[in-house]
Amino acid sequence: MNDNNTVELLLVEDSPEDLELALYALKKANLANHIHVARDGVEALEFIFCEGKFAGRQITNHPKVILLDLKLPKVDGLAVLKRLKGDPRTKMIPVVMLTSSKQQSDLVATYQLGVNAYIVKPVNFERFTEAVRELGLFWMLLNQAPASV
Amino acid sequence: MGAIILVILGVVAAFWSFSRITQAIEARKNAVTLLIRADDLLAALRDAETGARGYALTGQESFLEPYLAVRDGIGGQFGELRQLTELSAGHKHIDALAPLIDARLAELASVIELRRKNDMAGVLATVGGGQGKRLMDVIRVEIRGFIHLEETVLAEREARLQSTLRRLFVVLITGSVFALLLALSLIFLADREARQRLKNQVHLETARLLGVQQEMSSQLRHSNATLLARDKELTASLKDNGDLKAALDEHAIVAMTDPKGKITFVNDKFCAISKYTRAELLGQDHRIISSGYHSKTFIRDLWATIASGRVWRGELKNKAKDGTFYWLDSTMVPFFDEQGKIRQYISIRADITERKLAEAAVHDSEERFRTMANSMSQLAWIARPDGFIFWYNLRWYEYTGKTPEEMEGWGWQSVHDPVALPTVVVNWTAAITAGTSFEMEFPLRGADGSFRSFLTRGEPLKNADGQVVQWFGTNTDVTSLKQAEEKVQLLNADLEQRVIDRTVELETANNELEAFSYSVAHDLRSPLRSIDGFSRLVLEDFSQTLPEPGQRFLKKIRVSAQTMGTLIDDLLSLARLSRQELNKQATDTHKLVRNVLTELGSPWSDRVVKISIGALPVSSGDQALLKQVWINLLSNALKYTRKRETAQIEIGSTQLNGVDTFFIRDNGTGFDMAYADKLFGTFQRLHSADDFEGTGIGLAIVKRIILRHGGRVWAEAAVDRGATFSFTLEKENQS
Repeated sequence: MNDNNTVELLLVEDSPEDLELALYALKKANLANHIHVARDGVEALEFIFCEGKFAGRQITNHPKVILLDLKLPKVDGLAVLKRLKGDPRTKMIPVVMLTSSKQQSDLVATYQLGVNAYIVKPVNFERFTEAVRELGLFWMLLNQAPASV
Repeated sequence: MGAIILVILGVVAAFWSFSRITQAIEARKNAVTLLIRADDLLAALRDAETGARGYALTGQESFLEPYLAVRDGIGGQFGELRQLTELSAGHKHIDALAPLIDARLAELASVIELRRKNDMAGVLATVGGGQGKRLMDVIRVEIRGFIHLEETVLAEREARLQSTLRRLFVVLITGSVFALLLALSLIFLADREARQRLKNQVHLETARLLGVQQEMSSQLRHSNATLLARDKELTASLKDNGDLKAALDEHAIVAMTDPKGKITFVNDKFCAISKYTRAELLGQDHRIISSGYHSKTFIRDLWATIASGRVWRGELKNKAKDGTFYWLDSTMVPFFDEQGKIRQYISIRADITERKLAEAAVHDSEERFRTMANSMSQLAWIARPDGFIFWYNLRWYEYTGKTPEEMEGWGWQSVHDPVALPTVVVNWTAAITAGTSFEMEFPLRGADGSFRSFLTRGEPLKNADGQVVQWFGTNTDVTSLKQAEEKVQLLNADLEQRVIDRTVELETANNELEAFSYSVAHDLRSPLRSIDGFSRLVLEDFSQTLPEPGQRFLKKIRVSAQTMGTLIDDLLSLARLSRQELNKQATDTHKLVRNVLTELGSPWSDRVVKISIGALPVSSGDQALLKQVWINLLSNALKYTRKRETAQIEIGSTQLNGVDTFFIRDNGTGFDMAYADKLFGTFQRLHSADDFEGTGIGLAIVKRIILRHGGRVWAEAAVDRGATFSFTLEKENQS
């Protein structure tokens, strides 16, 4: 993809099928530029907090929005969210949860942790594309990061 | 005193004189004996001499007998004489005699011896020699000397005796004179004494007689006073008797009869109660008012009693003229004439009809009560206000095996458990003192010796003043109840444990189910998304190269995948219903229905749908779930009326079995009631998916929600004639 310092959207997704469909949907919505993909929670956290193989990255160059799948290997979406929202440097980054379920408990837990939006990945691909487009656009274009960057 | 000494001296002198006289007489007697004995001795010697001479002359042995008698007895005669003379002066003459006698006897013996030898010459020589004669002379001289001496002594003694007698005479005369004087003086003294005593006695007797006389006159006066008082009393008493009779007539029923039983007198009250006139009664006997109630024996006893002169008391039932009965407490008294024969009977009676009726009522009531108490299965008893139990029912005796005597009063303690007894006594005593109900459970020993537990209640029966009149108690056997209670407790404990176990199991199962549904929600949907998503990508990116049938197939794949997605969603929400907690609150049903219709409205805006909403009462339930019910039912109604030109949907409520019942009636395709039981089953559909889309889960969700609210849902329909779905939200009353 592109320079790690110019990433505008971080997509955290472990399922290759879902990842491909999501990227397709993002591309359709013209949001495919400056996307970084993390395949699990650990990688996502390393990217955000400029650790491990992302140590050279500037933490201040955080993505404009993070699309975070709930079910992830190693560290799950809730743990990632918790860490993000618990850190003053990263808590202002908008996070949109991507999940297969409408489980009440999941919803409650993520909202309590300060999630900004929620997308239930529908079986129907058109509806998924639509949801991604709407939310991605909303958070990336309308909800600009603070000018302090 | 001088006289006494004088008399004593006289007596002593007399005694002395008497003793001297006695001695003198004794001495004289001895002297005479001595003289006789001396004579006898001489005579014996002469006999011996004569015998010996006779033998010598004749030679005949018979002449020897006197000699032999003297020879053998002379020793004793001499010894006696010697003993008698031992103290007297004559004994020297006796001592001189001894050799002389021996010599004489010896000479006689030699003569006899010679004769025996027939030596006559020797005999003649010996006799003729004169030796014998000389010896005999000496002996005679000695004996005469002795006799003379003894006679002299005797004479002296006689003279002394004479003087002694004279002295005695003087003494006796003097003593007698003195005694006479003494007696005279004594007689004089005694006479003086006696006179004095007599005088005193006469004086005393006179005084006594005076006292008696006084007392008698006092008694006489007293008797007189008493008599006067009696007389007064009698007068008063006579008047009192009159008063008494008047009072008696006021109070009592009085009758008199002659000895034969004929009525001779009745008072007004007798007439009043018997309802006969006096004229009707007089002269009759008592049979006129006989009720026939009493036995013949009873009446006979009555007459026997009074006829024998004793008083009879008792209660009699009589019959009045009008046939009504009345009870009398009667006392019949017989009265006698001077000859002791019965003159008349008087009977005094009191009306006790009311009391008898009350008694009969009480008796009946008690009888009924006891019958009841005996027929009940509990033990029962009655106690006095002080707690003394005087009656137990039969069950008590059957159970305890005791007798009434053993149980009376506080005897019940013997069938109690000694451990529990003190508390029972304390509680019972407290109840008696306070007059409040007694209730307690305790064991009682049965006839078989085993204890059973009884719940005992004692209720005080109080009179109008609030005082306890009686205690009525029951003992209910609660042993089986207690056992059942214990069993229930055990079962409950067991049940609780099982509930706990089951809850744990259920929680585990629930957790597993949650994990399962979570995994269904995420993992089952994921491949479906891929199927749908990639099919879509193919259709989008390769539509130019993919022939039309290929594109149609892909579209079918996508529909199936999406249907399955819907199914999973529905299933999840159905599962969620079971776990979700109900948050019941009052809900404005009317408003809820309107909101639902607004939400559902747009998809069917191209059709003509007529919806009428009737009165809908407030419903109590979980708002979100109730909304789901209305959504599902109304969307069904809209769905199945799709083919009607004008869809008609009626929403309303009614009362069924006392609870609010909501209904949704449509004019849609309806269904065959034969399949009504499948209507609310999961994945059950009565229409093909081609005619009406759906997963067959909507009504299952409705049913689950309604059931969770405690209500009921049902449907009535006919093919092509519409359907009516009804539901309640609470348990109906059984009609």
